[in-house]
Amino acid sequence: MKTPANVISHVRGESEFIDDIPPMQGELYVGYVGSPVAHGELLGVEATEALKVPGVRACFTASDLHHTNWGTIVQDQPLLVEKEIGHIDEPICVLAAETREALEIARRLVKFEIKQKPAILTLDEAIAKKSFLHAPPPFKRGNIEAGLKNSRHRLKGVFHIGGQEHFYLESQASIAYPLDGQQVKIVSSSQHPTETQHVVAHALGLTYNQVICEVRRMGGAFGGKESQAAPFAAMAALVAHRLRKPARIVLTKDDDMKTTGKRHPFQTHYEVGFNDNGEITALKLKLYADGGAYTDLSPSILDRAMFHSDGSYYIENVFIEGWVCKTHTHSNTAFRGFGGPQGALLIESLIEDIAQHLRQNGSPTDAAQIRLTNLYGKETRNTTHYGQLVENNLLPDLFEKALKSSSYLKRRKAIDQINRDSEGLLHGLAITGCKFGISFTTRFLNQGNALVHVHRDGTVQVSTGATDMGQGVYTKIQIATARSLGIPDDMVFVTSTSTEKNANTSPTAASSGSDINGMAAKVACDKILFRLKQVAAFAFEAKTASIAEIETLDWRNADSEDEAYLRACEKAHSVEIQNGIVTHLPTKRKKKWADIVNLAYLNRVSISDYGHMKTSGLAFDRSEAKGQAFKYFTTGAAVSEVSVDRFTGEVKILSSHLAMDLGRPIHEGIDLGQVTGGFVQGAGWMLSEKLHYGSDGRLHSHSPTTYKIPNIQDTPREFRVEFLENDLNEDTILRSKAVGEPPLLLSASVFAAVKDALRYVVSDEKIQLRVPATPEEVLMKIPEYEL
Amino acid sequence: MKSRSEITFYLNGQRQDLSGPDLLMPVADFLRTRRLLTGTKIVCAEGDCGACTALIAHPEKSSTKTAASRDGRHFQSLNTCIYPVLALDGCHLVTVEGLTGGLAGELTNGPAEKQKPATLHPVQDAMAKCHGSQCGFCTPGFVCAMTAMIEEAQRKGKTGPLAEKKIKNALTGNLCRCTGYLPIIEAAKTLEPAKITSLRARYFSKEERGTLSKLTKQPVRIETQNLLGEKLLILLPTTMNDAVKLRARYKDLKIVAGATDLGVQVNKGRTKLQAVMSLQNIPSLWQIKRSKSTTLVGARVSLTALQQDLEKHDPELNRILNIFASPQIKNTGTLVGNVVNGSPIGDTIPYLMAMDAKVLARGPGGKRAIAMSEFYLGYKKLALKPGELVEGIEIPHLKNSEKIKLYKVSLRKDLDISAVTLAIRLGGRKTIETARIVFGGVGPTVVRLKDVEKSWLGQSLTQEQVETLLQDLSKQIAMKVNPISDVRGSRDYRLRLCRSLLLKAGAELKSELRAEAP
Repeated sequence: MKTPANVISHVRGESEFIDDIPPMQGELYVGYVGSPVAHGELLGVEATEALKVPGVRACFTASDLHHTNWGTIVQDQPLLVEKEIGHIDEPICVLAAETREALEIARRLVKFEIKQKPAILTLDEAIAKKSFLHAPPPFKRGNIEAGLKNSRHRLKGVFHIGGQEHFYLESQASIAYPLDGQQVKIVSSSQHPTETQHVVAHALGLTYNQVICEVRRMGGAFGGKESQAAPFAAMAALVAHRLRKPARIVLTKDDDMKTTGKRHPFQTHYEVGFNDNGEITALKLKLYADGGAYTDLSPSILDRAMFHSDGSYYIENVFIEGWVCKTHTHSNTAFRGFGGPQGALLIESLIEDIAQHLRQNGSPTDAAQIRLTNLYGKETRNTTHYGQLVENNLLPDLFEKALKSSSYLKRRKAIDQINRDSEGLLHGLAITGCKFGISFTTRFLNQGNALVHVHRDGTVQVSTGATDMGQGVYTKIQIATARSLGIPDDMVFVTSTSTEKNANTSPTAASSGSDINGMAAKVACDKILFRLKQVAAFAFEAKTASIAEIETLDWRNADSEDEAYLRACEKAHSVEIQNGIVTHLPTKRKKKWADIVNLAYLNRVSISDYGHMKTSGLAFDRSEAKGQAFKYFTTGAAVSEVSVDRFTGEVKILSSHLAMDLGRPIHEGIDLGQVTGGFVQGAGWMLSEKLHYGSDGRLHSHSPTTYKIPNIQDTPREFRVEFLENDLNEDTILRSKAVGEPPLLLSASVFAAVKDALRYVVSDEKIQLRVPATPEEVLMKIPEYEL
Repeated sequence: MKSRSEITFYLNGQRQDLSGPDLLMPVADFLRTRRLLTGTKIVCAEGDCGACTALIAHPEKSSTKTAASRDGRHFQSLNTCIYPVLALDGCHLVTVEGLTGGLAGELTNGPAEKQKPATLHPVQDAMAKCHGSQCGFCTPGFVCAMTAMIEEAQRKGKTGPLAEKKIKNALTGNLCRCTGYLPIIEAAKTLEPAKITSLRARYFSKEERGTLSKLTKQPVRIETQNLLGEKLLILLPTTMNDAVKLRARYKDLKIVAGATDLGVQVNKGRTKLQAVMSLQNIPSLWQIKRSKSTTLVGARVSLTALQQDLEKHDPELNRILNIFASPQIKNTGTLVGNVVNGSPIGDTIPYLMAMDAKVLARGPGGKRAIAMSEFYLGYKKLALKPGELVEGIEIPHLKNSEKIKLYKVSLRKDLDISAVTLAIRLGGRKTIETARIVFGGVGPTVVRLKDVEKSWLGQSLTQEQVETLLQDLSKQIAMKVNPISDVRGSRDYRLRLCRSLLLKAGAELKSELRAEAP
């Protein structure tokens, strides 16, 4: 299949997003009013003037909610502030109005009485005051102190990584419809309809079976709608429930950016030991993640950073501690990579420092060589610091491919020359790797379910818990379903995701969408197929046109000795279905798929089914931080070359060569788009996406005028992506590998290349560059021309 | 002349006559909520992401044949989220729905088997085939911007696929967060303008243009009221005389020409629209007049039109305009708008000051010219008298013996507001006879260093001396400018940039002078 079906409606502008749904008669517009201070005590809400605006219907506060606190891991975040204000722009009250115009006027007329309190606004303050939300057991291997002591060289320092706004184009949006009785139906732009359903039920005091959440698609999400779509759905639901009218909330980009969480800023205190050849022998880390005001998903995000602090490199002695810090800022949340990039970025940055240190101390080695020295091996040096074997490790092949296709050595020589001669532009070059663990580290989330209906004309509808945020998961499920049944792709339609069809689903996150839900669809298809093949066998074997009632048995999970079941298996195995043609293998006779389907129906054989899957082989002990945390790793390597303007600090990505192992891609076009998109999104975080806060905690960069995601001019001028196709992944859907998050990690090559450029003019022991490496950050590292 | 009490425009081929408070809405809101054309998306509501892009064509406004008015039927990209509905008067708007079907992309009457809903515009087809769309939210905007790119290429007689650089320039105003742009660039590369039917073949017929041309010769005057019962006033005069009279009569009149800034102020709740006068129907303001020594740029001349005119005459300004704003903004945004907005980081202001440009004002007391360097009294405070309007800017031409250097530094190279801008003009034969040094982003207004300029006069105009002068100024710059720390950069960084840019200018001027040396 070439073009995914939904893309046709995208390019025509016909794909319906939340705010494109035509309003119903009487529908109300919902908005919140946020706190003007970062920390304080709420004493009163004054909405009299707001309620006088024509068309304004109601103002609700925390006391109108059955249960105001929510949270995926810890229920510590209020939907609406009850008393304690946790951050600036935190929602305090909800307004409902008949028109958007009235809502906007009224929002400016609400007044709060607040007793302000001192706020903790930076990681430095939080660390100093020990303001922590979570402190998990450390990861450890070997003997860190001895390892450091016995190393030839040691470096110690602090690495700063800034946050990142998701900048999904469709801001948070939901519509709530009151249904019969107390039921509520939510349509939402959410990665996690099940959690949205649960949060709404809690907020309104309803049972889970009284709330439906449906998601057709999202205009981007990137993790920002995993947990944080739910509170806005609850606001709309509150209005719908109380006023018995459909209620719509659609955030402006500014409000969304001010109120919702972002990628966690990290501060990492490191001590690294290494030998003359750059071999890293010991790594001691203290990771501080800025969780913001509430817990949200931060413990899992910190965990993933600790899992990924090894990057793609084997390290003998490791000791990693971590803390989630509490600050009075928006509650930070999932963002593509989920802490993994913050963990892996440190080691890639450190390797540039190690190269610089060795250069300064008379053993010059190219940073690429240091990486190859430390890379996880195929047979040895292939166990992670938490004891998981890196199986089927293709990292060495990927590094080789990227170095070769980018002509790394040739480029290095050219750059040495350019940087000697040029007064204006410096060039830098680096290769970095990616080894991303695939599975939720929260074990129970590694399950999925699917509902497959075959219709009497042979066409198929499938639904799962997977939500479509542009990553193409519907298309992958469509292909997985079609391949499982042996019919053409276009006979399968993936219907919208709804808790009415698929309950207790996991969020579409952790790159797991197609792995989990594609496999669940396959399980359902296999069950249907088992029955249909029996029906087909009967039909092929029947002597006359009129056949007796066909009896079929259901597919069983375990081996069975039951004679009737073995007979059923034999029948099923005598039939093959491919491309919609049903073939009787003994006689080579053929029938149409749709005819067999219809025959099954007429014989009262079910042509629908439900499938459930769980990821096998996971065994991780968090208290010991040891075991099989992931089903497998998605790996890759990237070489990037940048130029740095010595006068202005401006950085341009001249070229990026990416190589990735995605197993056997289900849809190459989709996977390519995930790789280029993830890489450029990461490059934005590395270079230009700076969150600027005022001294009162207010976010100043809250729209694209001031917050700069990459535009079309910022993509690498030369941009090549190669896949190392392989068949090694036997246990995944169609032998594919997860792709959503891993390529983002490859953008570390851009940051490392900037550091590489700077080392040509900076004589310091190490280059203390922060993320993002904005022109300001870079320029201030470059020594000024002496005049 | 009898005035009209409604505005008239075409939307995807259908005539729209409109009055009432909706005229003050942004076009994107109007399309989405009043016409249920939801293909046009709203993301930033400030003209910075392009999700709301549609295509607009104006009928010919000026009798002078300039780039600004040459082809009225030419469809250009437009940010509909910040453009007020009233400014559609006399135009034809095509939305993503209009690329394939009727008003809402709907199918027409006829036998069922002949209705093929899958028909796509070639741009849509390319975007779909090359996976240029993931989540789909930015897609309609990209499709429209890419269509505008093709329309322009066709107008310029290009037949084959466009160069990557041209493609990127045409799509600078559209943000995508999913694809990393590579698949979008690949899609654009497959398009061949010669094989695509222009929108002009379907929309904006001679009759339609004639109707609109005739109508826009009549002034518009609409009085209505908003939700709160407040009085609203919408004026579209057709002569400068009338505009000046109206301006004098109504105190709180908001004036627009290209209307790219006011919409942002409204959307972000910084201002409220009650009385608006648009200068778009005054033909004389669409003119670029070039004489021997100066160019006069009318108040409704778009930056795109200006850039096309300047391509040959002033490559340095053309280079700056290339990274200034997006095609969507430049297609309606004006030079005069940039000047009267008065921002200390307005990208064209240092250039205009360095060129000794004049602001041409007209008010109850008649016409007068104000030197650019006298035009800014304080932060966003202009030297205009009550009732005065700006009808144009007069820019002297660069002499053969002169050089101008322009610099702009921002967080992101393209489509970003600058941290610091610098314009330097130097002229003379053996010695420096003219010197202009102008910084933007270093204080509440753009700053011209008049004392330094004076001290440079009479110095010898050699490679070494010019470099030395700039190096010396670089050392002293902290005493000459006083930047603040804000979201675009710290004070220290801005000072460092001032020093750096002066050194960069010194090095570049040196090498240019070296190249010219006999």
